[in-house]
Amino acid sequence: MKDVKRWKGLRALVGDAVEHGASAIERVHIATAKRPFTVMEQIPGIAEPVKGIHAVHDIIVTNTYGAVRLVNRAVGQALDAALDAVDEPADTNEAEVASDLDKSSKDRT
Amino acid sequence: MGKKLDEALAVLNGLVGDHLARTGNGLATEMAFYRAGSALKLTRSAFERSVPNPRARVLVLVHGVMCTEAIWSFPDQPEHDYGTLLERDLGFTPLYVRYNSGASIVENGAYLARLLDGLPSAYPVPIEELVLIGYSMGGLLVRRACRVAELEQLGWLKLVKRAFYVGTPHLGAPAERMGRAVSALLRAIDDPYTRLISELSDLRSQGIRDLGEAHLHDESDEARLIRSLREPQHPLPLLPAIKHHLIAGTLTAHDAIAWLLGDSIVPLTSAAWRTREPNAVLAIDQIKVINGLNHIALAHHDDVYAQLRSWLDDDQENQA
Repeated sequence: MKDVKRWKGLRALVGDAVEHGASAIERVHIATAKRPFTVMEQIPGIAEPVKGIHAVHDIIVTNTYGAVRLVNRAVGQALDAALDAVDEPADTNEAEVASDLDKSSKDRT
Repeated sequence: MGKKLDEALAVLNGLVGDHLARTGNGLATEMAFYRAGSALKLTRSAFERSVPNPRARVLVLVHGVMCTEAIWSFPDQPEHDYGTLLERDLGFTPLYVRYNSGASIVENGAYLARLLDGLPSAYPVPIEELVLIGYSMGGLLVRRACRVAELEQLGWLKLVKRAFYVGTPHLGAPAERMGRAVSALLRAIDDPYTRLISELSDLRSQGIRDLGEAHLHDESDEARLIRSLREPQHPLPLLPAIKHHLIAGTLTAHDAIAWLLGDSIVPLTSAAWRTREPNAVLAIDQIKVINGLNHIALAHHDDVYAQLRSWLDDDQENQA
């Protein structure tokens, strides 16, 4: 039981790290890309198309990192369900053993 | 494996324990008394099972940040620590506290106060005296717990006559304050990479942040501005009803280097509570500076044990 609790904790921690890590790297990615885009957006003639490309770039980046976060959450939920499934029979088994012990001690008395 | 896992979890708790506790993560350590690596439930039966031959004088040892009670073990004799030695030599029963050192010191201090409050009813024999020993952050927890007990008039405080602080940053830890300043500097630079580094360093737990100024006051006390940590009106003065003893380490006997580096983590001024104005609660003979000891060694060293024993011996003689 304690082990499962810890495994679940580890799963949640890795999930949090991926979630926050993806968001942090996304911010860096968008901020870094903004620099050349900002320079090119000042150049007459290409400013308008560059603005469009910049917007499309940011949408793609946001969607990509969003997909990473989504998959991370889905995997997390699947692992939680699997850990719950592993935990359940053990608990049931322990409860049955406890109940049997209780019954046999009553029988003896 | 178990001990190594416990130590790894202690480091993790120290680093991000506030996040673990906030999110209900199963890796967060819950505060409890420990004996032989196992948590004790606060029930009479659990104590009767786990504490053979309980004595009326109880020693409570509180470890520091990112470690467990294993920090007290002497490296060459792992079965010995200050607790077992004082049990053998002076007849104390040692109880070791393990906790999530990443949670705030105020929060942990309150938990410790509650834990100690449940001890007299769970302990198999009436407790005559509680001696508290805090190492590093543990000493700050002891101070906060005593403050909570004083405010809430908890019965266990009357049992505490003596408290010992080993390498405790009573006036804060400059390393944390420096780290905070560097992080703020990196954040101020308009560059996504330096900001990312700053974000990473800001992940450190509330417990570690609290060490910067020895943050011991709760929300209601927040209104009191700390003009200077070195002033006698420190937000949480030492309780006068308890005899306090401080042990500080220094890397070298050389005055200037000792002043500069302290025990490598906690400066001498902070561990030995050296303020401009004398502290009314601390006499000179209640502070011991041991040269040649770094911060980690303070938790398990013959010289520290000899000093602890000597103070406890003196008090026993005085009481007799």
